[in-house]
Amino acid sequence: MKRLIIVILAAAVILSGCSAHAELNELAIAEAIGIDRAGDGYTVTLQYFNTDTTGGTTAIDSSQPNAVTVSGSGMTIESALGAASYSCGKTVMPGSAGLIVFGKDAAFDLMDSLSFAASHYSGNPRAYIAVSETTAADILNVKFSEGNASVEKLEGLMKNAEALGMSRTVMLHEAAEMLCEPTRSVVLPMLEAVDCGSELTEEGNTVTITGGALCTGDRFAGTLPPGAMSGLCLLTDEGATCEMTVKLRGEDVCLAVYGTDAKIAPSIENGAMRFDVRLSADCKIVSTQLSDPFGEREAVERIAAAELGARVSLFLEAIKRYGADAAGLSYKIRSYSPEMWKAVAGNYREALENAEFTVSCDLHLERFGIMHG
Amino acid sequence: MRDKTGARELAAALAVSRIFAEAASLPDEYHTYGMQRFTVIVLSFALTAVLFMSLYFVTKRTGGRLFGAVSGNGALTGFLGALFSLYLLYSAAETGLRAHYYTSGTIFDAAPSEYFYLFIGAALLFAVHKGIRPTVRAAVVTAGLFALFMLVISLALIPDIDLDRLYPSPVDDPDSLPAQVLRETARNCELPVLAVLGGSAGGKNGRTFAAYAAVSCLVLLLMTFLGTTVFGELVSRLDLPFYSLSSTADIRVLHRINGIDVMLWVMAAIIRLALISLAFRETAAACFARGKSADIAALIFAAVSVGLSELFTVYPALFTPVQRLSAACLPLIAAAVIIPPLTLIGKRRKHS
Amino acid sequence: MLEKELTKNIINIRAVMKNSSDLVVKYAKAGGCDICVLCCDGQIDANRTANLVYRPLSEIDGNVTPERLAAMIGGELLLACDEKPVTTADEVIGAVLAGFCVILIDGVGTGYAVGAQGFETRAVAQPENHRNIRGSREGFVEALHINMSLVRRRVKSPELTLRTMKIGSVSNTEICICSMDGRTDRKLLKAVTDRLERLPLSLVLESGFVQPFLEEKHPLFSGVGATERPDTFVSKLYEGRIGIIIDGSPFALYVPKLFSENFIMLDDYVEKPVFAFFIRLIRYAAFFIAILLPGFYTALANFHPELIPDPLLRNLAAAEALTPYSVLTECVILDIFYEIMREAGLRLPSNVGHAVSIVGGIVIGDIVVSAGLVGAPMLLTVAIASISGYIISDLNNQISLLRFGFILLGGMFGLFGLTTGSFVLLVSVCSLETCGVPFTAPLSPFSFAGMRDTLFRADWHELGKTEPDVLGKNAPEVHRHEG
Repeated sequence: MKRLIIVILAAAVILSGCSAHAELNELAIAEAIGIDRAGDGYTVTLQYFNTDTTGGTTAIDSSQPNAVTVSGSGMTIESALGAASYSCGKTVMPGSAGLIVFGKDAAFDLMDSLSFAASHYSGNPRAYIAVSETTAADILNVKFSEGNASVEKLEGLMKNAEALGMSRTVMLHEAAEMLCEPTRSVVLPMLEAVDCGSELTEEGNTVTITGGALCTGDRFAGTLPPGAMSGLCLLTDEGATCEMTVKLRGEDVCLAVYGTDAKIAPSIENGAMRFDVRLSADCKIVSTQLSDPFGEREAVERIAAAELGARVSLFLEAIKRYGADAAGLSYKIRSYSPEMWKAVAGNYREALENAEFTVSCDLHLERFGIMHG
Repeated sequence: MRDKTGARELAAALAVSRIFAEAASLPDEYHTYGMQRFTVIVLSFALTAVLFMSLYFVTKRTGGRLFGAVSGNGALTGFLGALFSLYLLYSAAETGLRAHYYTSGTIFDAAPSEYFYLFIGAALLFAVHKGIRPTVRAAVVTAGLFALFMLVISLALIPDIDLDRLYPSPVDDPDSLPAQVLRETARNCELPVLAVLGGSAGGKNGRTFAAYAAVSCLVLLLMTFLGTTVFGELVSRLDLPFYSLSSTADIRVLHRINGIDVMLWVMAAIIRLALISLAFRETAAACFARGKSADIAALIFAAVSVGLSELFTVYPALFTPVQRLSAACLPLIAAAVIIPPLTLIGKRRKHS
Repeated sequence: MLEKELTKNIINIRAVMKNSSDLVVKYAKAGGCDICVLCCDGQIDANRTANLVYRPLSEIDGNVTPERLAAMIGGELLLACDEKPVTTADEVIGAVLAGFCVILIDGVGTGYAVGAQGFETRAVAQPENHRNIRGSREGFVEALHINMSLVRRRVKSPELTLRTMKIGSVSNTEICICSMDGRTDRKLLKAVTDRLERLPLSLVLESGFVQPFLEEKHPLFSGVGATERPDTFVSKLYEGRIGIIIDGSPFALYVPKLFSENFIMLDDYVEKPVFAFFIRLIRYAAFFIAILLPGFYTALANFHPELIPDPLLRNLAAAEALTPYSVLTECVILDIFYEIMREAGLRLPSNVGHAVSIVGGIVIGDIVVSAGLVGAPMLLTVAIASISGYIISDLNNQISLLRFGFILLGGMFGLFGLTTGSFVLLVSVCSLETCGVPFTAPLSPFSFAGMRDTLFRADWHELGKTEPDVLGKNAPEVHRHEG
């Protein structure tokens, strides 16, 4: 037995050269991947970490960029990635990419495009997904003057936008889940590279979030404005937060909304789907010009609830218009009545386009901020 | 006496072995999204319990050993042994194939295929050489690690769990339910293994089965719950659902814990192969061979089963009919329902 | 048999002893008879010999017959508590070499051995290897009888049985088998005694000589424990183990030893249970860190870097970019370097050892990183693993070997190698049994009763209620004594 083990180990040692492995310093550790359409094929923009800028006993070398960007083209995303890898002279490690940006053109067949990462054993299921208003390369080529890699900046931007109710972050596994059935769709943050006209960045460009891109697995359905994105967050994220400013007797009242809870009750009336949406949330006043906000409590709650309801309605109108279920309504139907789901699953898109939504909102002004004496 | 072990330990080893079958869904046996999956799991164990009955009553009289009473009964013993060995070989090859399929879909894919045979083969031969007691004890430790891992992964995935993805419909599709139950039951190929190795655990086959079935069923339900609530409909497109879960779980110290996940599943695969090989040793000792030759036969069996899994990979046409048989649960039914009465006949003949 | 003629006996004994220089032969007269006192130089206490032997003999008045003198020495005179008749030359020599004074009388074929042992021995001091914070500072010494007294002082009960015997056909080393009646399994005691009686060694200088004959063969782990602490030793006896004290060794053995006992220290029992639980968790974690961390690091860095969190991965990659060697080479170099330092530190005098530690740890460690030979993360990884290894002092050697093995497996074959290596190790450890008791109990086979003092340590109120069942007396018979 011992001899057998020795023979096996010896064979394994001899075979150890067969396994392909790269040393850490030979790797291009991908930070972000941008995917654009180029004719019938794809262009992949790869942003990877520059190992010469930090680490070991050396201090950060601010004269060099933290992230290096290369690009390559090919008929498939994999071949384009290979071309990018070839030009950077290192072994690309796409599994570490924390952000995947699709150009608007590439977002038409998102499910296929995502499969390159979602189906790979080393793909990062927690990578954030976004869509560029123009091309992905435009976004990834923006260089920030800060020490951190630009991808971290973009991740931070999307998270902040989500906290403010302007956008919603989506990870790879969430996007794959939302797009795996033809009845489902996803709303991705829409990024845009704009000239900021200041010295905030090296090249005068910065990135902003302009709203959301509503995509189904095989089509780019449309763009959602920031208000609708806020409606999405309020509807789908339990405990979502957002900020809003409402006017009461001509004065601005800035409110922070939190603790949202949406209850969606689906039903079928006269052959058409009907969704009764009840939104409840808490809020507090962040700032106001009102002299006695306490006395105006009910009025503030009423106006703010109307505003929230409008946002949710805006989002629901959008998904109705595009026939794209980005709010997981199919789960709600199934959860409410599996039989009802069976009745509508066959032509769900059409049923969604003809669906009726009623939205009611109950807002509770919990306490007054520091402005109240 | 080195072949003796405890009933609880054997149950834990069989449970680890059973859970391995959930590591990878081979083509044609993908998971389905829906609450029916929970029903399928529960019904499959109920069916397994029914299949176990004949094994239980036969082995109850023979100290837990299926072939305990017919040992040395000439042609019938040889026939039964050959039939049962065939079943074991099929189960081992299927396990090897599943393990190979699993490793090639995970981070172990970076390793060349030879590693699979060399390393898994070496570890398997070592376990078979050491015997049932060390293998079962190693399985108990693996079970403990697996439980710890399940706890960690469950905690890490709490933010991703969406209970809306569960819905109250235990039977979504009544037409497909029987086929799904049979396919799930076929994964309990350890059942006849228990009937052979039960003698090593003091013959308490009933208690061993109860513990094995309860633990396996609960773990599978928990895994299904996690897969369903985290991935929703996506779970029906995943051939390595639990690997995908561990890839999604971020525990901060490690970006994802699929590396540890793969280590545990591969260990479970080796344990399953080792138990089947050891069951073959018991069968061989009772039906064909004596003493050392049974040990050598078990080692050869283990090596052949790993080799066969490669054969199935190279020639998919070979696997497809076998897979269909398995989906219909025929090998398990044959091993669990047909062989036990035959052993009783053999026993009576021997006595007469 | 001894002759009646004294001269013949002395010539015979001198011949057997090859006229050894340390054989002291003192002729004298007592009660008018010719006598001879034999002893071994350096083995006896001169004062005790004078008081116990010479003075009583010289105080015998008048003339007596040799038989009467023999009867007086053997029965009437109280020379020493340790006194026995000897009838053969071999017995005389054995007694003399064991530190007895043997009195031979001309005309009588029986001698009398009187215990007058007294030799220079190290004072009872604090154990070097098994230190504790709260508890006795006494450790075993080399002298068997002192060690026996250290044990007896802690258990003043007839339950404790101390049985001495001799092993080693040349060294005639005295050993003491300790057990507690009613707690120790008789089969286990018989198995251990049989093995010791059949010991094929002629020379036994240390407990480590005996250990392999009590344990089952295993390349790494041992089912026999060794301790320098009498209190630990006694607690093991109380739990039903067999203890063996060997003359000349400050390490006493106990059989069987379980794997989990490497992680249990005496301090655990004087601290609060919650702290004992916490610190035991740390020890288990330290063990796995010590053997797996460098191998895991090389496996991840070489084969699966995507598992490492991004910010850490960037730092690691940047650090590796500065070094000329591969991760595996760095790890092997550092680990070998550490083992060299450890070995050097162990053998050198303590004051020089400190200097070596400073040179090795601070100077070389700092310079290899700043010179760019080795990455700082790798140095840190090996250092953490090395320090973790010190926590479990009994497994130091095993940890060193396993760590090195896992570095090679992880560096060459990635997690695949680590997986199969871990499995083989697990099966191998699980296969180890000592006298039928599984080495991995009570973890596997799992026992709830055993767990109350394994990972957890139950409160003394709880522990005191029932007898300890570490060896699984209540476990199914199948797990025990079948080896």
